[in-house]
Amino acid sequence: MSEIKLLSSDQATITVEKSVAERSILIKNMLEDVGEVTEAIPIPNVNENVLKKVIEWCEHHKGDPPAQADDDSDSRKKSSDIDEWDQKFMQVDQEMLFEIILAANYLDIKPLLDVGCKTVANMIKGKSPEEIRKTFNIQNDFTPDEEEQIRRENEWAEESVPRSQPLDIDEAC
Amino acid sequence: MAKEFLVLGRPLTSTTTPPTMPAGEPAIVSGADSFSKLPTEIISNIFSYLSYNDLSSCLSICREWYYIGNDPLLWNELDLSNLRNTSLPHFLVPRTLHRRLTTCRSLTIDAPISIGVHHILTLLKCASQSPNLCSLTLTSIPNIRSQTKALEQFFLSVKSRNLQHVDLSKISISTSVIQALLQTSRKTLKSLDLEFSNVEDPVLRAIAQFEALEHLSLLDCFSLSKPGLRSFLSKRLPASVRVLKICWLPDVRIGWLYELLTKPGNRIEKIDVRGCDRLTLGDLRCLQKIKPELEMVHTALLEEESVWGYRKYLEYMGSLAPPPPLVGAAAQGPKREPFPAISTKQSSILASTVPEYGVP
Repeated sequence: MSEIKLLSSDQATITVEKSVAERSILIKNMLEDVGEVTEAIPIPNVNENVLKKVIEWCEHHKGDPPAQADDDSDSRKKSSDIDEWDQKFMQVDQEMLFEIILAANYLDIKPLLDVGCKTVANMIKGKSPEEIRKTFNIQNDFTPDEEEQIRRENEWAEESVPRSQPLDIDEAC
Repeated sequence: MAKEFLVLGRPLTSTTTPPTMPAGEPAIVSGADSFSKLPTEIISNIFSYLSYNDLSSCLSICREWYYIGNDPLLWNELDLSNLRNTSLPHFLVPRTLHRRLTTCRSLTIDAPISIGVHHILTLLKCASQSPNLCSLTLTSIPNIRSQTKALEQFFLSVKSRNLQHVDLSKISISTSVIQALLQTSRKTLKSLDLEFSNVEDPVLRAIAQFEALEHLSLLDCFSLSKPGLRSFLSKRLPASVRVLKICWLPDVRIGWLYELLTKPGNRIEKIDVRGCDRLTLGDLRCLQKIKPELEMVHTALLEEESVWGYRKYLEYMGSLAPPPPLVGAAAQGPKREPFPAISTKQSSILASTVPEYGVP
């Protein structure tokens, strides 16, 4: 089993199995282009901590079947289920979570990117706009009038009942 | 179309300075707003996992989210099962909902909690205007039969020339609705689900005329007559059908399936005959011989319909200490493909059929 070296943005060298590193399409294509490499491959956008985390994910998922092409455009709303290991893996602070997402995007590891996006989506779910802003520390840059207008436009959606509520027979019929 | 929308939207997000923010107010600590680091595509990817209620909340977070979240692509698939009837005051559809409906690709209303038939028809009227409508799921809706004319009108007025998937399971529909669907989607419809529905024989005549139908489910369509089903399965089934579900239709006979599979030009790849009690393992082996690549899902346990078959079955049951998992029983059949995971629902159905088989 051949190994390759990766050089993180903060100049740390990490040695990984080639097959693990090849979960990253970026590295895979690079290795295919240049053939054998002896010196460390620089990963300028990712620091050591994040890179280690990403490699941990790649190691756990190295046996996964290759991702299928996104051809099922007909498929219904994408499921936001995350498998248990990935859920635990994603239990990191928010900054790390976003760093992982960015690294997955840069290194072109689609399944990891999707897990990250699902995790963030799950953090948004069921929250009010104010709670969402608080969670992610986002500045509200609407004027009060604009905000009111958008709120009114989308009132129909916000009023929806959650599935768990008991069925009101009078309303349903 | 979506791309253009974003390209138009983005300069606005970057050039518009928030007018409300007083100059002196400390901006958020740099780096604290994790989202500002993410490229638009990733935010859009995150949004794609949200339902319409959560996505609507996102629109009012900030300008950038408003523009990203309004990408029509994110609103392609609308599931309005949870919509509240107060969202449609006096049966008027709010402007934004109207816009989503008239551009959506897929509309789902499954077991609506709050909205009633008239609300649904109002929504359908808007959706019929969508030129992109490709998939429609209307399931578990009570009292829709009283609105047959309106439903018919909906299918006749569908603007989309690409309606491919229609699921009308667990609702009571009359033949004229399927005939209306046939008029607009004869050449495009690829999948039709009529599970647990009380459709009658004339519907089969309409189904026979779909030219591109690949997936058909008649699961537990209890009102179909035996002769009707027979002539449909053995003679009239569209040749394009690849997946056929005829579960819990106890009338189904092996002869019909034999005729179906030996018909030249048939493209059947998978049949689901769970609960077709007249089919035995021997029958299924015979079908497999005709078409070795055929995938079958079944609950047959009897070797053949004779005293010998029953005895063999009892011997088999006796040989197993714990009650047999369905996989084990089914795996006896000569199957190339492994069985799909057996759901608990399925095995409970099996459990309920076992005593019947036990009595020779």
